[in-house]
Amino acid sequence: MSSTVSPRTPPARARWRRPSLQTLRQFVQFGVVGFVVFIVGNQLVFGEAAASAEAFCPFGGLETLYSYLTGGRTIAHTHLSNLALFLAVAVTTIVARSAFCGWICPLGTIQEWTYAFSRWLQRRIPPLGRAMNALRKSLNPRAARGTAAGPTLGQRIDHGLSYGRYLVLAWIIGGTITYGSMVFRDYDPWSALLSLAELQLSVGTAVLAVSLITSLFVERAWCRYACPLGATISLMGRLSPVRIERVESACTSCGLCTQRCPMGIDVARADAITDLSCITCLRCVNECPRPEAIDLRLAIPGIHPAAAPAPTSGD
Amino acid sequence: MNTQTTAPRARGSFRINGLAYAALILTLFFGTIQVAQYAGLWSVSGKLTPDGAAVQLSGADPAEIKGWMTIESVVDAYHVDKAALYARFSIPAETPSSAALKDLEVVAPDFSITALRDWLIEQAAP
Repeated sequence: MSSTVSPRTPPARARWRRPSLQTLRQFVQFGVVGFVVFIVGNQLVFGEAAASAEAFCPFGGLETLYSYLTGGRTIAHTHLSNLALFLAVAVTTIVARSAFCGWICPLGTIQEWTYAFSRWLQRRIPPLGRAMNALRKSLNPRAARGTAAGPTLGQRIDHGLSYGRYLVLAWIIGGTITYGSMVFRDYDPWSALLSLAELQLSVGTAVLAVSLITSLFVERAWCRYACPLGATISLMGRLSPVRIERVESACTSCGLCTQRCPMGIDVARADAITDLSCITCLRCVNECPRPEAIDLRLAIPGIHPAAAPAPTSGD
Repeated sequence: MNTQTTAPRARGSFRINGLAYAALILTLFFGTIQVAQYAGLWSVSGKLTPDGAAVQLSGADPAEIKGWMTIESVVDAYHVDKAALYARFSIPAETPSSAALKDLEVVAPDFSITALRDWLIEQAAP
């Protein structure tokens, strides 16, 4: 089928339009981080008279949900705003999949910036660039494509660690229900980041440091391996009718989509990106040199593109 | 041979424009927050009710005790003996009654909000 689609360069309008979507995404991310900086600065200046930045954490809403539903009260360090934010994340996720992770989450944004800094360093320090290239090849799902050797050690480790965030989520939910307190707070890198402004160090500070250092080598390491909110969103996102779909007949198998995916998903080998790790950042869509090969689609959840009725005419 | 440049797409799904998707995300996320605020499901401080009024201890339910509250406010609301409270949790005598409960764990290792709530329930029992 691919021979029936003649290669062509993307139209000028598409080339202009597509990068602008990533610019818009980065603008939104920057705005959210700016808002958090404002809140933290406000608290530093006005002390306890100002709202705590923790009051704007949606995961706090999930942690206090059980207490609120069963006793009408929020647990320590959480407020109604946490519940409202979690509700907003849930609504956004059920309709628009994991867009919160890819477009709004400030911790994800900071990891993206960390990785971008790493890429900048790699371009200026050639030996580092070569070492990182080897690591990327090891982790890249396309590296073992077409070989009988199976996944590389890096891919196996990456796959195994990707279940970590579900374990973290299970521990937090179980612990919060059992003890009625935020068992994760002392280990939470986001809480630690907010506390850094007050020069407070905790176990969470170490978790934050490890996450950011790892993000120099693996993009969005915390999101991939440990984020409990990401795990919650990915599970809720299964209900969403929105997903990225790839058209095999239009694809040139260049692999750019897979290379650009910040979550390490093998986009180039999927028909529909239903991988729970997808954060709907749309980088794969934007990077594709064939605009018709990959798109964001509205579809019935659970229906695989191959199972959908065949077209009677091209649209 | 068909030399179409647009791949067949009628696969039971519909294309979503990227900018429309961005608008959808922002509308859903910030719209839900707006609705929650209008519905009264919004408070960024445990010291204020959703209406903006200062939270007061009623003395009826120890579960309402929060870390920012003071020893004095608990003693007044639950009518317990201050000396007994200090003795029960080994709180140093020089600790002022205006101290916030959340700061007591540093000076009194036996103290926790949960333990205080349990003790108040015991005190209220006939």
